Amino acid sequence: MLIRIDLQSEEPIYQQLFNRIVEGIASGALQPGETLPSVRSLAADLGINLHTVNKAYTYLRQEGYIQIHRQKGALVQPGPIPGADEAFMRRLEQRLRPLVAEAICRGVDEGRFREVCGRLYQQFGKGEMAT
Amino acid sequence: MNGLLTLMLLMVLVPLGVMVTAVPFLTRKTESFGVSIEERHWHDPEIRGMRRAYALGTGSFAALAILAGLAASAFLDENSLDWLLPALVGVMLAAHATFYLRFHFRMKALKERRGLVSSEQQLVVDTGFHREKRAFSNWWLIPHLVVAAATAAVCLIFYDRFPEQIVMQYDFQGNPSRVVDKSYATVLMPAVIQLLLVLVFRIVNFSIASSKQQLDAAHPQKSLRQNMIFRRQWSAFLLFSGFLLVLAIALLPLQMLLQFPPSVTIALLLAVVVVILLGVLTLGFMTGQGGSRILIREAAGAPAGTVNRDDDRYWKLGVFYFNPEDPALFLEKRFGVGWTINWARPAAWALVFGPVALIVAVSLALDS
Repeated sequence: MLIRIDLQSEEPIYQQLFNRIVEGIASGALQPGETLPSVRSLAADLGINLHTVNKAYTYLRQEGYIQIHRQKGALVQPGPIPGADEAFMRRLEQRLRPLVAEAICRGVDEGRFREVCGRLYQQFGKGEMAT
Repeated sequence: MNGLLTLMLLMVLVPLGVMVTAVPFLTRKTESFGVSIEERHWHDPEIRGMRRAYALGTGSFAALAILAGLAASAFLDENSLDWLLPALVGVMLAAHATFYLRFHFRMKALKERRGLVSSEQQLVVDTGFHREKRAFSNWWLIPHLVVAAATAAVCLIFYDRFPEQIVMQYDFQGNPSRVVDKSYATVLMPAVIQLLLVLVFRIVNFSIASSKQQLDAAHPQKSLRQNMIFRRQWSAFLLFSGFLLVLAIALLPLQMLLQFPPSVTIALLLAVVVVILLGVLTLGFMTGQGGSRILIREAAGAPAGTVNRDDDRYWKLGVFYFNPEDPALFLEKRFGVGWTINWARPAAWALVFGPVALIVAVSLALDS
């Protein structure tokens, strides 16, 4: 899978890496058990500090998206990724809250907001229309 | 006119002259004289003019060096090759460096004056890159090692048949110009050189496989495929030409044992050098830097307007990459075809200068 990092973005690079990899898993571009580049080789390819990649991989591991083995290196979670528990749903709501607020301020009604969400689900091949 | 001298000068100087003249046309289209640019500026009249001016200047000096060599060979003999060839090669490389620097600074000024730095810089990496076969296996160096072992074996088995005085160097009439007393060290010298060469090939093959990905953000899929072909072809060429070189060195002890004329050895050695030079030239034109000249049908395009990261600040004089943040040891040169090192990494220094130091040490040890 191709990972695209935007260097002018305000979003830090480790966050971009985290997001792109999770998106890859969601869309199936990254398959369960697929090996990922080592921290060193990914940092070298991007020409950035090892710590930046390390930080992204650490978060990914903590959230259960990847595993890091001493020998095999980093790989996409081969088993089931932890389901959405109460804590996750709470966090999801917290993160959506300001977005909904902004949307309301700009006159985006609930229907249009849902429409956007639906389109995003579709982009990952998980839309309800598709199935 | 001295035929042999003329021939040898031409065989080395012509390919080299073509190479130094052609460099700006073989780089990636996202680089111009060691300055990163957007690909759409590659055909800009001003930038194109600089490439032509560089080629005209460097090409003229290369042609002058060749003519000077031809003139010199009219009244010099082959023994002059010792200093004449390095001197003429030096002239060519000096012209190459001087014209490069001139246009590098001009390009930098142009970029600033016209504000060519893009605000859409992106980096693209393929997460599957490390799983691909980027270079040929190092097992392909086994034949080289077999030849080295055979050379060593022959030297030891027929140790008694070697003359008491070993000729280390001939002049071109075939008269010994440097002679040392026979010892196991001097007799085994060719095998030692072969082993050191295999070490160098091993390191170069490693650098081909492990150098930075460097996909073109505007054409990631295309540049990915081009880059794979580029690496594999150069790796294959390295292993093949390395084998020729190792074979050529095996000729040295054979010549002493079988007593065939030195001219045969010289002719064969030169043939190997010419094959390698022409190979580099052909491959350089076919692949271009990073594989950028290899024709690949373009798949789905990237978001319009995206360009590679502008990393001019890490490139000292446009040719020396110095980036302490970057863990990469090897990456593509910006002005030329092939790879260079990240000068901020001591491990890269060790890999490049270690073998050189070893070769110097071995030759000093033998001379003392």
